[in-house]
Amino acid sequence: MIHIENVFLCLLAPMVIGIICLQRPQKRSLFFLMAGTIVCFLSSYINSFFADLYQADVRMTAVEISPVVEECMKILPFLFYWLVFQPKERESRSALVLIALGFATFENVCWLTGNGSNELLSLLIRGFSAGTMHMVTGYIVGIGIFFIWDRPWLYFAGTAGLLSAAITFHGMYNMLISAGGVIEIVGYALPIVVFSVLFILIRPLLGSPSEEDKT
Amino acid sequence: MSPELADNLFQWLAYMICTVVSLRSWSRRYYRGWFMLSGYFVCNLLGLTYWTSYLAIYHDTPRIFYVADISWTACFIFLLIVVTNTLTEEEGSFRTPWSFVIAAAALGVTIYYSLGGTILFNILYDFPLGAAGWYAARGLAYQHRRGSDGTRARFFCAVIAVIMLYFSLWVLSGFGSRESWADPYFWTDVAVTAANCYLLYAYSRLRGREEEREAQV
Repeated sequence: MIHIENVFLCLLAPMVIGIICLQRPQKRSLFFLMAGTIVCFLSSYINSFFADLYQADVRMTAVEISPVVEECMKILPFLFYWLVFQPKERESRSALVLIALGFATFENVCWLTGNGSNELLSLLIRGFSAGTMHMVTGYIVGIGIFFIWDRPWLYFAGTAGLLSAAITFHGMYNMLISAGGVIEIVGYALPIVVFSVLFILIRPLLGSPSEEDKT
Repeated sequence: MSPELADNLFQWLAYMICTVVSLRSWSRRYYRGWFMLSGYFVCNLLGLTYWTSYLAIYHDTPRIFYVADISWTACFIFLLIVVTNTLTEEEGSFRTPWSFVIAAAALGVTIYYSLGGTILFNILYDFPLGAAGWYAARGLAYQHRRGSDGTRARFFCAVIAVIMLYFSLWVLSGFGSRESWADPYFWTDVAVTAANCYLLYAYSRLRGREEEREAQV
């Protein structure tokens, strides 16, 4: 039996120490990384709860429950930060990426504890693919929040729409990688292809880094 | 190849082309309307891909959370946003009995399907479609009365066609065996796809005309 809460505490402890030692901008970055890890940990409990409630097997949990739970949980810390602190666009952009990174990191740790760490190649594929997938879903929601909506009702309706797109993309990824064979390879490649297209599309919107960013 | 698979493949291809075209148009000028229309096609494509992949891989339909339905709901929300974003103040406040006809159709489909299915998803599907139809009917009636702009009237016509075809498709989905092309469900589904492609064409003409006007100003 894997005690995931012990793994979680072990991962979180150095980050807590880091927050005490770091200066303010880095402290904020580490906080978002921690927030991503925490929501991933909470998601695993909520996934288990729904799986138990609906008597779902592993496949049903991965394809139908976890995309909905994980994407909704992932957006929560960002929405809290966005609505309460009303940060500048540049600050919130990195917040979204860091939350996704923290989430993907803890998810990979959970996967490692469950599946072992013998095969380097499959671990590399898994690491890059799942990490990119979480970045893609984060960016899908983020594009709307950063660049598109300027009226309150559009924030709610549009962000709900983009969150739904992120959930479906996540569900599709989980379904393809659990299918095996060629479909599994397509599943691993999908987030990287979509990320590349998305990055090319929104690069002009991101703009060049300011002098402050460079220093 | 079974008619259902052929129909799904045709739809997937058409939506993929529409997605690429709308995203390409958005990336040229980053006009918000193009992003919303891209959202409409992307969500349609994602929902269809998830549903078809699920059927192909597991030979079953989802039982717990209807992820594909979430995507289709999002797609209809995006359609509503596209319509309200395109509508002018005069068009939005113009009264016509046709908007009530579309609202009644949406209500009828919701009640019909709520009797035998999930009420929540029926409301989530039909409310954005009904609202989009309500506003599109007002826009079309306004343009008809003024007789001024063919591109706007064409766009609102396309939206109403898409909505009414979706309603027809859902009503037809309760009948027929889905075993041959004689089933009207497939032809309505093909008509929905064609109407969606026409919607893209109508919106692109509308934007083209508006860009011309902006350049002249």
